[in-house]
Amino acid sequence: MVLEKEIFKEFENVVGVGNIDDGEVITDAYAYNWCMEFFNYMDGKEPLPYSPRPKAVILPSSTEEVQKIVKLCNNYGIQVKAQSTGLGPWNCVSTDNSIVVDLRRMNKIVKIDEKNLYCVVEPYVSGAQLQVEIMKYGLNCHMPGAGPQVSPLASATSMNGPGFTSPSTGHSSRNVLGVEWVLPDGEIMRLGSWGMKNNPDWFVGDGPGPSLRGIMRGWAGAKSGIGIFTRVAVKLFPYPCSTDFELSGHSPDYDFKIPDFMRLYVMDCKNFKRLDEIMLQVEKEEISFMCSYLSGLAVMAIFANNFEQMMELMAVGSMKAPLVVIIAARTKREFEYKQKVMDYLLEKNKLENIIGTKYTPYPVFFAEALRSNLGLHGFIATGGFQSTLGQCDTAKVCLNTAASNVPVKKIFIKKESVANDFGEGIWMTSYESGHYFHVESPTMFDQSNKHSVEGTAQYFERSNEMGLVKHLGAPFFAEGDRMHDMFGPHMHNYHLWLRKIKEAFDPNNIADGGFYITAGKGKKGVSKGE
Amino acid sequence: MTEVKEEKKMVRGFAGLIYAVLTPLNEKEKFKEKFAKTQVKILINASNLNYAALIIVDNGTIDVESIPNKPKENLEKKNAGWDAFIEMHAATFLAFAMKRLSLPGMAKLVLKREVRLKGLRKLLAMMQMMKILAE
Amino acid sequence: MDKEEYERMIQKCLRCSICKWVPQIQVKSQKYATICPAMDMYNFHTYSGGGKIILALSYQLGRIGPSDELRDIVFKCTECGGCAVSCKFLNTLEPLEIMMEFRERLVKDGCGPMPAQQKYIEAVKQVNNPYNEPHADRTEWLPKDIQTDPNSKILFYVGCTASYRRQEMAIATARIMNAAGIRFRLLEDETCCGSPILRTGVKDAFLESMNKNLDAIEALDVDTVVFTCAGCYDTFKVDYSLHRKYNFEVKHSVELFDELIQNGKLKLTTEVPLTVTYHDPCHLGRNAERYEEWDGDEVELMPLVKINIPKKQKRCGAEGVYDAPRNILKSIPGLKLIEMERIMEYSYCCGAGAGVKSAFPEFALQTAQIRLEEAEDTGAEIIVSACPFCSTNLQDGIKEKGSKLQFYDINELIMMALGMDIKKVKEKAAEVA
Repeated sequence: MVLEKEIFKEFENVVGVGNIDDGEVITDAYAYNWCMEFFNYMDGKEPLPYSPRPKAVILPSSTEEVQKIVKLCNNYGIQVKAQSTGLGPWNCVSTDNSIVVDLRRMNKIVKIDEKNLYCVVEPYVSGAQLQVEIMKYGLNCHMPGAGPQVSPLASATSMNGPGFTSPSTGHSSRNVLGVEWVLPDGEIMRLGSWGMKNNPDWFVGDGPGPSLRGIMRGWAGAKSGIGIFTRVAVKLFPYPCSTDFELSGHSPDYDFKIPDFMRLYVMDCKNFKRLDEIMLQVEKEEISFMCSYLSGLAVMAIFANNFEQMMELMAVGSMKAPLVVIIAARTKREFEYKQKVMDYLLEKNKLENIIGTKYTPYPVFFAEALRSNLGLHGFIATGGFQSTLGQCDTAKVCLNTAASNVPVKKIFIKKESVANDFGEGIWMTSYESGHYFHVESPTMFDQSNKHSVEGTAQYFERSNEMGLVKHLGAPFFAEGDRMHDMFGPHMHNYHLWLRKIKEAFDPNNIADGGFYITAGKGKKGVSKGE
Repeated sequence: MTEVKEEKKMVRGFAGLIYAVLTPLNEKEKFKEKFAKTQVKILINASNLNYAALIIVDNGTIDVESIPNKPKENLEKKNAGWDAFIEMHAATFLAFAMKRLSLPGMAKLVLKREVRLKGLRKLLAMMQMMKILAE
Repeated sequence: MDKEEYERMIQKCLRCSICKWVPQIQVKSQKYATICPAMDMYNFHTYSGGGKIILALSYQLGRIGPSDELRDIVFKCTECGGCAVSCKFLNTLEPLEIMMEFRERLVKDGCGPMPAQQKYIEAVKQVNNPYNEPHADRTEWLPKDIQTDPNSKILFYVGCTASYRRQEMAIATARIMNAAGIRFRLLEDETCCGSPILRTGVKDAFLESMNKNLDAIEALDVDTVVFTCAGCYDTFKVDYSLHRKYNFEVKHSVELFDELIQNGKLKLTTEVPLTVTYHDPCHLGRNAERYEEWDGDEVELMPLVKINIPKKQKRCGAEGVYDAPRNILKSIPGLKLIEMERIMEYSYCCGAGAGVKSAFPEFALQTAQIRLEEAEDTGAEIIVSACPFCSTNLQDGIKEKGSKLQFYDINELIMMALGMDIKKVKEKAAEVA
């Protein structure tokens, strides 16, 4: 379905010629996304990586243009779906009566306030772009695990948000300050101190009045289902070490001058019980830049940039419960202190750091760690990967989740639907020095193999069911009506509240809620204990 | 005078993987010491892949050659010249190499005939090698 | 790229957007973080490397058919290979090869190349060059005082652009070779290398050009063929050797001159007090990496997981020619070299390649201006490169932008350092620009 000529013209008048297209070729590329095939399979459709084709794709350059677009959509009953860098099926439209608002032209770093440690960005500023600009001030930002090429604004306002540096930079939801929000009716809402009548500024995310950050994004984000975010202020953090970032050589075998005062520890905690204790001990000391439990194969993956290189690391992969910790410091004194703490913990827990003794990674690993590029290594083995689980809870629950998932995954390994990681493919990280934890199970599949795609989709469903049956909570890709209706009744009927929010904020159902929720009645359930 | 060019031999298939995994032992002092007086040939065949790996330990050095595993006769002792032999699915090998399969687990697979082996005592040398590799 | 590999790979784009940026760890500023000229020009994801892979899949699945819309999008790409370098840091896709294969398939289905490209392809068929200039005039650039030797072991393959449009480059290269005591030979019946044809997907016509050239050269007793054009160099080195073996060495003039400087046959003694920045041509840099023959095994270690034994070459541009031009510039007394942010295998394209200059001149010009802004930001007064396509497009861009930058071909700087008068050579450039 394309836009009618007159309607097209109206949109074109907003953004200018060349910034809107409803041709089948342009729009078909926006129908495609990574893992869309799973959602199609779960909906009983052909497991192809395509959603419905959007009606058009439009490229606004300012909040005012976004507002006009949304108002036009209200006039004509067309749904709207915003995206920036666009990684993931939740960027796809759920109906062919939806237009994609591609925020590529909104790519300014509006403000860097190095004294108050925040910056204001537009949607198409990538994590890497932001990081290099704030590094000039000795600062760093949170980057989601999806990598430095994605949008911090998208993660802060609309998606989940664990990252490799979460021990020090938290979850995306925790980093949101002022927000500029184009509501589904086209009005602009300003959250936090940016909404003040006099001298508005971006530095606080709460107020005026009740904080709406939870409404806006909750834990998992609304994936454009509640409006379009055009600017956001996010917290900044001190850069963990020297900002000298010297690479040499050529891709992919770059050499990197590891900054002074940066050190990697990889220790085998042998079992989950010890891992739980040790991870908490490390995090309690508030010294880590990165602190992750990665399964043996995942550790092999982060140290390699191709599968052949991974296989050379089998000895490293034989660890049963590896804990990966990076400490970094800006001064010698700070570094010595952090090392002392780690030495103490290693001795106390009878751990051995294999780095420098049994294994030394290529220096480029450190560059990737600083740039939060490690998550993309999950694609090395088969070219396709997605994660199940994604619980956000105590370390114990996260590890319990990981352990519970093993037999479920093994079923699908045996069926040859997912690659064999012994069932234990896991990434677990702490948030904010161990205040809470994130766990997900990276799962490798082959997009070009139908059996693998279908089997992986089935595995996802089983993994989600396991979350319910074992009271482990919702996975971090809990999105869309089906999943909210599945989890909601067991989680204090949040799905009913989510529907009310959707209805209140989007009475005309203009924001494409395919990966959020649609307003309407939903089934109430009674959670145990109510 | 004729120049003799030394061509780097191609270790094929699964054997190439074993080659990549094991030949770093040549740089390990502990291996050189422990196996200084050892001469043993161990054949590992991955039942689902081509090219079995003939591991040759010779007085502190280790090398790997590839032997096509079809026809089956190629892998017989008289043809391949091994002192010990083990055959399993490549995934089983990986699981064992990465300590996801214990010795009792392996024994179970032997009983189920999913793993075939001959020359158990000499095979234990391989376990020692894997241990040194992990150090 | 074989059919099976193509059909498998087009299903594997992760839509991660990495193809739009320089390799993530090489991002040095917000301003110069992008690598895809098509994305910077047109903004729709469809124009990115990943976007075009998606189109290849959509086309394969019959979701879209041949159309002017499709043709325009697919051909609005300089095939610079930047997306491939970024993607392949971790991935095993081949975005550039997929795009080239996709173009071939579209051309076979009557969807491409662009009319302007078809025109120049026809010109190559008729008069052996895409500029529709008389074939007989191909060697007109050669000054009478240049010494050649019809029996030389070194053949100077001039290429169409240096022969007809950027003659100053041909002259400069010839003069420098003479200065080093090299009396080269020319190919009597030189024909287009076929690069502008290959990169628009017209494979058959490319193979014709290739065979014509190789037949002609192999009939001569030459050891080395020297190029001043990065496009011709890459085409001979990489694309020809994919299809046919030949028995001579290929060298770009920067490689030859670097060698000659190192071994003292060229003495750069005259001060050239200029501040320059060097633009890496795509076809001398990341794309000039030969395919290595691989006779290994693809082993399915476990279901879904394959490993190459031994490891297969991953062409990420590491073997491009980066050191030679930089060595030359550093050897020039008084010359100061300041690097741009996007260099070597993650250099930003000048905008001219793969038929874009002919078919989409506005796109080519805008891309050049983006690159020139980056050069200006270094504080350099000169932008220098080693490719006639880059030369033309960047000079057009300088004019359009009103930039204070000047463009010099690297050979011109060498001439200056040799104490040669480059006025006449520069005049030649002014005639053509």
